[in-house]
Amino acid sequence: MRKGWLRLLTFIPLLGVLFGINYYEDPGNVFHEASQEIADAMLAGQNVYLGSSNCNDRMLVTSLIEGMPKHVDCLTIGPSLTMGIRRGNVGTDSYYNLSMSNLCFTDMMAEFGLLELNGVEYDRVILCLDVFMFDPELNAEYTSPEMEPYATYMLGKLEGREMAYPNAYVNYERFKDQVREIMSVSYFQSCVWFIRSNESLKIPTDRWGIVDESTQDMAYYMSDGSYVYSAGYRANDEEYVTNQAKFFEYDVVAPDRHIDPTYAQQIRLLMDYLTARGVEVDFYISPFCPTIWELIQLQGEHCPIVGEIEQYLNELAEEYGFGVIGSYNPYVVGVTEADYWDSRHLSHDRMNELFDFT
Amino acid sequence: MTRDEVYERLNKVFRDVLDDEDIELHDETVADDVEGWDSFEHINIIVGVEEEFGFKIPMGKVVTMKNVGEMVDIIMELGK
Amino acid sequence: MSLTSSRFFLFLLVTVILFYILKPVQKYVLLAASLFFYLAISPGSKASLCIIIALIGLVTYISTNLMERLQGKLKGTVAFLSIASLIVSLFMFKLAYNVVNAFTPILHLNSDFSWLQFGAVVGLSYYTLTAIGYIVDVYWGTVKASRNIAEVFLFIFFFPQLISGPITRFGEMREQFAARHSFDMDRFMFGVRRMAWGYFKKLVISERFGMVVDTVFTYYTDFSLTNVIVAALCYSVQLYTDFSGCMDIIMGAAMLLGIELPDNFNAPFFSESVQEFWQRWHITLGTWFKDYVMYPLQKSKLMQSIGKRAKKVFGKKPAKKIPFYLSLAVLWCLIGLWHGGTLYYFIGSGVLPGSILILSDLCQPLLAKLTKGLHIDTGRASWRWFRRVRTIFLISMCWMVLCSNGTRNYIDIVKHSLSMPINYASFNDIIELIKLSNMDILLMAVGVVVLFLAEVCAFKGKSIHKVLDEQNYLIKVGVVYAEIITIMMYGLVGSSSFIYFQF
Repeated sequence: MRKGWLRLLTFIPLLGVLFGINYYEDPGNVFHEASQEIADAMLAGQNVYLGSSNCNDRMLVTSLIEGMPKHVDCLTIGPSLTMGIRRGNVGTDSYYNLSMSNLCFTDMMAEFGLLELNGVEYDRVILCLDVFMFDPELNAEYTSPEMEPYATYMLGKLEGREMAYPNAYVNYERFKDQVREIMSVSYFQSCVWFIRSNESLKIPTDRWGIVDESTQDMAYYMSDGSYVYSAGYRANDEEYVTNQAKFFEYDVVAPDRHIDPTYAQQIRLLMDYLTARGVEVDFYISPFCPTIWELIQLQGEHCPIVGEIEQYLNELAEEYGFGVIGSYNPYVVGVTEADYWDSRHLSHDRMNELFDFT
Repeated sequence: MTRDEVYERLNKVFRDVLDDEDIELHDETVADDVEGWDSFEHINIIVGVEEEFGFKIPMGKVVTMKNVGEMVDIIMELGK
Repeated sequence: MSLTSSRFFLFLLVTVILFYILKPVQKYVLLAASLFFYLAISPGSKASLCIIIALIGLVTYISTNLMERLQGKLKGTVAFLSIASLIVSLFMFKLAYNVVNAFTPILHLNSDFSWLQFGAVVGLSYYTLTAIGYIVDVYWGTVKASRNIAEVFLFIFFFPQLISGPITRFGEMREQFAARHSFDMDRFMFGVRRMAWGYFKKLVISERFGMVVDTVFTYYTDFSLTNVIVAALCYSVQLYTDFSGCMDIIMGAAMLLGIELPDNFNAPFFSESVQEFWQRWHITLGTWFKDYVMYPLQKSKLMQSIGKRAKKVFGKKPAKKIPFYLSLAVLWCLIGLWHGGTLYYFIGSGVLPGSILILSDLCQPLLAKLTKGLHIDTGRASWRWFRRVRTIFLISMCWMVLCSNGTRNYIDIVKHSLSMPINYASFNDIIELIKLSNMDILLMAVGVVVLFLAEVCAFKGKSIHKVLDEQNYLIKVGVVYAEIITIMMYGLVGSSSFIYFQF
């Protein structure tokens, strides 16, 4: 009988190879989460590239906020549209760019919540409030569960309630992913492909590293939190942009929906909060490229939210004495497809030329 | 009815249905032993048996009988 | 949760552990596991699924127990009502939309029948047949009705057989479910080996042949008649390795729990005639239709009177054939309908095979004369192999309709192939179009060789699993290692599901 159980053990090496390779190679960074170390490197003044894959930018920003000095002159909070605003553009070196891709209402509130919880004071915020921050459906689709506890905290605070320190989000989804991927045959095959293309078992490019001459063409984060696209991406031309724009997904402009009144009201509360702390706010509105702008105009009353947001932000700015930089309308700003890197993102150089962020 | 009597009449049915005068059945004979007795002829044989002996064989038994010996047992039981 | 996912392995592991720990209540462990499995694997509303499970199980349980206490006409009525309700539910959930859609263009109806399109009820086609078989068995007195409702539910919804068969008989399963199974390492390893072989067939062989089929039949304008024929043959390999691989996984999983399920395949490609093929392919479906449809139909008064009338008109020999062919026609139409009710499945899996069966029976005397006239020695191996190849060819032609994904597509493909009989492109160019690497081709070749060896064993009467079981331990481990390593390195896991899952 004991011999029988021993026989089962003959299959342990196979499982060992499967689990071991999946864990060690981990091309999808399922088992290795380096956002804390990356944040530490950035806070120490280094530019950091991401080697084998993405890192969780929500956790990166959380770590940045936890580690940054307790007073900064200026912050940028927005989606990927504002990732190119750097220290040199805002007129001060005491600056961090806390942009996160697909930033939505919950994420934004969570960032302010984290700043509050970590006792960070700031004099100015460049705030990009895009469609995702005014539409509950898009918010639900793009929300990051790890940010929710902080968003709940902040909303409670804005409404004047006493809020307990939020419990950190326990990522059950990530745990389930890890269990699934460690046994996954297709993940194993990605690892094998990875090993073959690197011609060695050891991972030559680290999952992340400090930018130097050999890696400066890769995409990387600068020490102020802003992002630099890879050299290849920066070379995208007008034709590429126009072709991309043809595949524009209307979902991202919340068709047939309007600004959610609850969100609008909560943003007002946020403005009161910021004013009470003497924080200057500049709204940034990133223009659409002409092709997409035309498509939106064609939709007419089926795409009301874009016009509503611009109007709302201008009203807020007037009411609170804040500034407004830019407009959704490319003709007002004076941009064409040649100024873009893809159908939605202005090239960072052009953005900083066109707009004065100081 | 004796077993031999049953066999005499059964042979007649088989020879008639399968058109083969040389068929000779025993207790252990199975379908594979008799040329032409496939799953489709099986029903024709059963119907022939029912007509010859004058009673219906329950479907359950039609499906489960394994050899001629069992068939004869069923016939003798139903014939009582 | 598909059979190739890690979730399934976790589920199986937990079930096996609980099964052997909770020995006194093994039946209930299996029942709970089966219901959990069914709910986890089904998309759509779990609540409506629970209702369906409850209704089908209760109808079966109540009707079988009622029938035991009744006689004559009342018994027949209960049987009729319960079977009819199961058939109606099968029709409504699976077939109604497809069948109506097939007829609307012919009858020029304009209404919108999308309300007939219910959510997918996985496995309904299989377990409805299982349940109906049990009801008929009780009606005929072949088997005694079970008083234990858990047993009835377990029999119908047993998770290995739930979604793609095999279609079992209550008489075969009852004792196995009732017995207490102790853990047996040998039997457990046998099950593991069988599952490994199934995964090998599905992930290494089937998926690759599937690539050939998909490319050729989607981009048929680039391919010639010869390519299409080869692709249809590849489909036979794909379908066989997919379905029999699924069966091996399922039977291996059942074996882990000490339950033996009936085989669904017996070296089908060694069949020398089309008739023999259908006795070796999807065996449990064939025997189900034979026992519960064909026999009652043939024995029915209607068929008998047709036969008698035909005898008077045509004479004895031809007269036998007429009710026979009629029954075959009905049978194959039903089998075609069971495969989903879409027109092309109805033709490819019902009308065509049935027609070929009837035609080959009609031509039997003619072919016999031909063979004799040409002085062919029918005892020779070459003759047997000729017949095998002919059978595979005929079956592949039936299945070609299925590869085409639609009747209209099929007609277009046939038209195009006839206009382009030969492809002048080189073999390498064609392989490139299909995106198969050299490794893929090597694996396909090795796979077919290994498959052939396994089939030879099965044909000779002893399955490859039993053959391996008798070998030395090192050989057994070596084989499993080879299979698992090949699956790990080259298994195309992807997101494809099993073909027979859709019925």
